[in-house]
Amino acid sequence: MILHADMDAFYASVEQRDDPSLRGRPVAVGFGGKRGVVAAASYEARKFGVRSAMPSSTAKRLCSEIVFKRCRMPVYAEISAHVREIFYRYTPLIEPLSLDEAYLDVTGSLRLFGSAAAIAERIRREIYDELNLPCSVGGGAGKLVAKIASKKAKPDGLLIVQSEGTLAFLRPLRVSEIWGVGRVTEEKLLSMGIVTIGALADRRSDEIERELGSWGPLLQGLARGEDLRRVEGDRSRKSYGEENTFNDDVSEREVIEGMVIAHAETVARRLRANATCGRTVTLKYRPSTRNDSFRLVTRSRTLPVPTDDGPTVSKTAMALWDAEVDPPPIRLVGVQISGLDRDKPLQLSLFGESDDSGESGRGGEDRDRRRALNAALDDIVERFGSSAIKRGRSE
Amino acid sequence: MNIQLDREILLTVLGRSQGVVDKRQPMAILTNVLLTAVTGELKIIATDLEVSLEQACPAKVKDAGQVAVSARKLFEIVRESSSDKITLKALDNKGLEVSYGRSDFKLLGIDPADHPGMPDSTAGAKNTEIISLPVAELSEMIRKTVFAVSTDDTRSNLAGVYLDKTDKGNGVRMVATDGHRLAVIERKLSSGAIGGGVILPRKGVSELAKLLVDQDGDVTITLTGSEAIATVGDCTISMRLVEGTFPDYKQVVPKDSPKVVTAERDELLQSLRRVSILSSERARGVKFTIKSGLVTVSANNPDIGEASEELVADYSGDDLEIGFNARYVIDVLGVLPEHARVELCLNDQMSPGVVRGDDRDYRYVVMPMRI
Repeated sequence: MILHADMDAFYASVEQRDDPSLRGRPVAVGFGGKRGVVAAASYEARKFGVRSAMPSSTAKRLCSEIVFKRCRMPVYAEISAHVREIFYRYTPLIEPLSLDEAYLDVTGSLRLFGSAAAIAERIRREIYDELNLPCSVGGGAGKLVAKIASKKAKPDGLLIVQSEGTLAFLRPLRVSEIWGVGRVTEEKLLSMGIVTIGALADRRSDEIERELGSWGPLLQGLARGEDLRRVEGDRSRKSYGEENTFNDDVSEREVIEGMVIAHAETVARRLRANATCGRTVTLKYRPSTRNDSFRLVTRSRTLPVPTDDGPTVSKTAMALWDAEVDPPPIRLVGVQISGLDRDKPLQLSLFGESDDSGESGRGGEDRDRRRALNAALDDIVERFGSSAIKRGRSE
Repeated sequence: MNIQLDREILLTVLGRSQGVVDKRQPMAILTNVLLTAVTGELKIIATDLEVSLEQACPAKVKDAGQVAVSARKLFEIVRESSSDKITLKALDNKGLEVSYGRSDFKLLGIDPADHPGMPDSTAGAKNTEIISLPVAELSEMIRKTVFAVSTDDTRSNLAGVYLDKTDKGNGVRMVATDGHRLAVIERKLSSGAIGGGVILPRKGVSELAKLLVDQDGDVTITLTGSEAIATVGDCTISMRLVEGTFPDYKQVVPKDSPKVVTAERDELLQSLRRVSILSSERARGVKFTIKSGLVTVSANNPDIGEASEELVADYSGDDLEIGFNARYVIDVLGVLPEHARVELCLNDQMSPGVVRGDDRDYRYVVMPMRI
């Protein structure tokens, strides 16, 4: 049995919680200025048609009394960590999808706590009691059903679909409810006369495959309630990443470097928290050119030795940036590390792990100092939060 | 230009140029060789701007002149020839006509004035050092170190061999490392002395090694601060020095290794080749279990299987288990003399080991793997 827990209008709810004057009013979190984007909208704002990812100017046009609040990422991250703590009381199998939603596999916890509904209700209650925030939970035999159920349960609700009811639940829904079915796929299915998940399930599989390719059988399986995707806890993840969108086009190297350093530190800290290292550093960015705005550019480099060190990651990412010929102004920049290696590097180094500079001949000593520094940083962040200390640049 | 030359000589010279010209094509001109016919000889220049090679070969010159044509195509044309003599004639359109026997080729060319030629070695040179040493010795030094040069282009300061002065005497030391193993060799200079250390690029050194084949006498190397220019016979190779600081290699060469295992080089090499068949693809780890008089080399790959082999060795210290990348040990055994004994000088599982033969001026340091 899998639960999908999703905080209701997460950022907006936090703002309304912390500022009572906002309760009951339409609130958008994001940057209200020109070219700003809505990151989250309260339910009051959604009534006017305001949605996340919408340009702020559109939101203001739809709802003139909307209140804009700046994003307070560190606060949301802290609350998210607390929510995750609550999840961990019920199962170790947690797959966070973002700060505000996660899958939980509670199959093994049912005997301890009774039913999925009982667990879901306790989670909702504890989040409300401890954080004063609403959370909706859906449950089902697979991820797909759980996710759709949580959406149906919103706001502040609970919906568990029992295994035997899976097909009855799925069949009448539109195919677009399946995660991953976007406009293009939906149009293809519509052109085949397929509107509902039930119709997709009943169609001959070779027809579906002809139209959708190798994805067809997978999709049809989901429609038939065959959802074997496992909840992938932190232990089986493939990469760690962090990114941000700028309010304005950015082309100054210093600004980009500042964000890259911050992202690299966050990613490296998460690697260390999970006692893992990564080999491949990926820099991604989105050029601001208007007609090109959906193109995400990624550049990767594989390090000789896996690392969990922030400066090593940021230096590599910036080297990738500097290697770009004529880089465009950008709207988004992100750092990702993959090629995860839980085992410590097997091959020992003569000069220390990430001694690219070669300037220190005492590589081993340098590495030990870096480890000690990272451990101290992690301690401070653990106790005082991630905004307590930041990596600076030295010229 | 209208010249005739000997096929064998031309083929050798063009063959050496192949390694130097730029195979990627950011600038088409760098895929060309510059041919200059002067009295009695043809000069051939190839460059990728990092490494430049100038060679001369005797020719019967009817008309002097200059052309720049595809290095690859000219080489292939000469290689496939069955005649002893080749005729090269410049065409009006900057092209080159190559003819032999009943064959005739017309190659398109590029304006020779656009070819960069050899770098001006005198420009900006302040503290020029000139050293020379026997061809055979330089060839050996390169052969025994170049395989340890890093192939990781994120560590540019390791992407070459380091030329350094010796602690005493008029010697030269060559060092190469990829961060996991390090090879260092010392030889005496015939003349001159070297000041500070310089890093010679991997490509330049590899091409230089090719020039040394079948040559006698001394090689002269001129260091200008930004370039190294080596002259041997009729060939001059110039390479831009790698910028960056070479790591402090002296620190990592163990001064004292209490545990010395002596084994037959050929036996150990063959054992490692066999056992490493079952080591993992990437890490190539093998375990050395060392007991009095006996070394067991073993590999274990959970996906494939395991292998082990025993060999007799001189050793009388405490038992020791240590892991190494088999590749790293095989590499050095490959350049050590055959039918001789080698020493494995070890300390503990986490400390660098040294592999050496009778020649105490050649040492190879290798970091263990965790096992």
